[in-house]
Amino acid sequence: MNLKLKKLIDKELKKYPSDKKQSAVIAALAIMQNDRGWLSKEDISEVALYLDMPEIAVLEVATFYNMFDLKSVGRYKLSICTNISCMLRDADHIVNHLKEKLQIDFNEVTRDGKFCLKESECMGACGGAPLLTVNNQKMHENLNIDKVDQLLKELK
Amino acid sequence: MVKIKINGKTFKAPEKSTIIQVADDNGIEIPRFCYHKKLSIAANCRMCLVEVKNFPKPLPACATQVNEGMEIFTKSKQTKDCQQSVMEFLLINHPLDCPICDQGGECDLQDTAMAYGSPKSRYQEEKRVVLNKNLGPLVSTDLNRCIQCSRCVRFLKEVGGMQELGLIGRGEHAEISAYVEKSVDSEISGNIIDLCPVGALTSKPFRYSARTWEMVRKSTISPHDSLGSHLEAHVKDGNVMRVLPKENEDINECWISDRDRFSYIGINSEDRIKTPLLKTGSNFKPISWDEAFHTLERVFHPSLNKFKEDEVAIFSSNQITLEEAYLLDKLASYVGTKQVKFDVANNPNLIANPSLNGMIGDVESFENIILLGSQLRNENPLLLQRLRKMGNAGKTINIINTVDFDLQLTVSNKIIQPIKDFQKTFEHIHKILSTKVAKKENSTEKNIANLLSEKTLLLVGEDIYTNPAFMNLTNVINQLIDLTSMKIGCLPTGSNSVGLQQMFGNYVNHIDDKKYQASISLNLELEDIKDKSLFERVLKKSKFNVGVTPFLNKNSKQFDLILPSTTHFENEGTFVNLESRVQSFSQTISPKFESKPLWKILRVLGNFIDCPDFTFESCSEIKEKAVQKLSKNKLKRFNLINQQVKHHSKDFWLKDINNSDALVRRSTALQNTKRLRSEK
Repeated sequence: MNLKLKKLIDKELKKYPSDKKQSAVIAALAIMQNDRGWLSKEDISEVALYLDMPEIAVLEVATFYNMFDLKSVGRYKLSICTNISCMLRDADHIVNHLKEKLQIDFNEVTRDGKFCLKESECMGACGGAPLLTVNNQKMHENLNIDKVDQLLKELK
Repeated sequence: MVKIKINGKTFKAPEKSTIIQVADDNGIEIPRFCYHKKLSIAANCRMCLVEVKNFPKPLPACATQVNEGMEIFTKSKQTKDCQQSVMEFLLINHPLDCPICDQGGECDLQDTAMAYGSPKSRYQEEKRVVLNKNLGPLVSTDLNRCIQCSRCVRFLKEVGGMQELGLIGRGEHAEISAYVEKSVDSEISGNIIDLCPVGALTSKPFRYSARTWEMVRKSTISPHDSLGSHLEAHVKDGNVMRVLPKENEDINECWISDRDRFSYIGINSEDRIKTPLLKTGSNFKPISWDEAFHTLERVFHPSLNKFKEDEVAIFSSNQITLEEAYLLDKLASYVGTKQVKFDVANNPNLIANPSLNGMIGDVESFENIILLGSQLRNENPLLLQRLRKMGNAGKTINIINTVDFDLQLTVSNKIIQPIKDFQKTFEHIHKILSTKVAKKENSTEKNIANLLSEKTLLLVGEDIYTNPAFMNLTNVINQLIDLTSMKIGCLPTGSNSVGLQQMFGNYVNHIDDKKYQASISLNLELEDIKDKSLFERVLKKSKFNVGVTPFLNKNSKQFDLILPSTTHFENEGTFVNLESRVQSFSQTISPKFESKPLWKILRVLGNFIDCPDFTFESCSEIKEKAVQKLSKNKLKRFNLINQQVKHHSKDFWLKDINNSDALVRRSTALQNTKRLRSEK
């Protein structure tokens, strides 16, 4: 863990009492994942050590929340919602298009290691359905085939 | 107290108690899986749902506190419907493999399904599959059977002190796991086998070897530490198949250490000696017991071989029973020796009555504990568990030790220093308290000094109170007792250390490095002794060495006559535990091969050499005499009984929980566990 990451985690730690370091575990894992792309066992051990927690307790959290990836997800993780609102707005069509274009199924990574496709649950932004997020960070709403193609072109 | 009604009957219950506690106290049955009285409340199995008047939904009895006037129904239609539905949910993914499951016949899930479940299953779909994990040589997993009650996770976290298991994933995919390929290494990990309400965690050594209804349950007392835990040995065809805890709230609660649970495996070790063996040249020849006793008669009978004073050296394990010690005492004075050694660490007795002053449970009533020395995790894991509980409850645990052991508990103040500096530390504490100068000092000593009161217990480990350096400490500690009225206690380690100490109180308890005419070793192996070279030198110089032991070992060659004694499980007798509680136990299985219990060997030997008053017919007869010799003195201050200590070994002896005695050493399962990395 480099100094930059430590500083970011320390900032989160300030929000909680000093003897309740484990409160910052989600934040610390998120910071770690932002930096590394995904969480390896070593990353989890590092977080555990830094927050004074048993490794298994950090693993519990990391496996509970599906925004944490415990396997490589390529450079860009596209999480596309297939819940009811998006489904009614023809998310399946977008999904099929993506699968065909990237030549991968859900939870797989393209051969060049660039894209990974994830099926996600409702993100609470149904007004913009159908939608997807890139690396849990940037949301793209009101998708259609053209927009998706444009997006794939932009992601280098 | 509040008044509540359960099934129309009125009960008084303490405030803030939960429905399930009140029901348990009054013998009303509520089924449960995740609730355990010694663990935190999870309320995740939902099996204990009950109907409560004026509540729209059923409530979990384990997590609902009682209120004045509450009306609870444990047998109403709503409650029964809930129980049936929850049971159906739990059984959805549970395999129907009871005939090949080790838990079959003693399974909470089986029993509860029979009593509260629906007779029919509606589930037609596929069941989920969870891969088994390797948790080490003690606990076997069948995770398809797991119902995610999380008792094992909570036990290791709260009682074991280290969360070694976790529930990873969620929903359909949740499973119990250790961290990536790690094993469970807690010294009390075996308790998760008892806690598991299904057959997901079972005993690896016991696996597929017997059914619960085939075994006879025999009670015994643990021989491996000074707590004297109550055990239940399950016997089939003359063999101990497994050992389980017997609940005793005052001593071991409902737990036992892995050492107590799995040592029985050593009983049938290949090292067991079948008949008495006599050395002829460089080999041993099997002989009969009669010949063996005649050989002993020729050496020890006073009319044939009169020893001068202290020409016989006796080494004994600190696990021999009170009865055996009584006979040994008589025999030793008959052959004219005071050179009897019990303390395997080869340190002389320094203080009178080293014992826990008071009861084990009382330790928890103190506000502050100061642990001086002691390798608690290797010596008394269940006492450590109580301290851990205190630490979790916000009481302060303070440690002064020579080695920084990882005790996996919350420590408030810690001083790690060589033993010679202890005196300085205590004098410093005394100075802070006696001068009462409000010095703006900010030191660990000051913190500890501020804690000393009648609510403070100073516990001194065996390493320390048998170390000659402790003589310089007694004075200042006694002054602190006068000043603060704090309480003291000692932590002896052998299962009968306190009994032997009380019976042989005035013995010098050490062996000189000189030439003896004969030596006798009782249930002792070289690994049990701290000063191994002294033991070997004495045996080398002595003319005739008798070894009484159940097992052949590395130093057996040094003996001229070997007599096969039994292991603990084949013996009967009495132990005095560290709180001076006298506890007797009977035989669990009959002796293997031609081995005999040590007390019988000593008794017959006494007759052969015409020792007077040696006509005991039974062990209980000896016990009657033996308990009279026990002293009732309490440990209020440290009184030195031995001012002149001639020799002592300074070096520290790190004990290993799985190398503590001959039986444990031969338990293959325990030997395959990872050694405790208790040193930081």
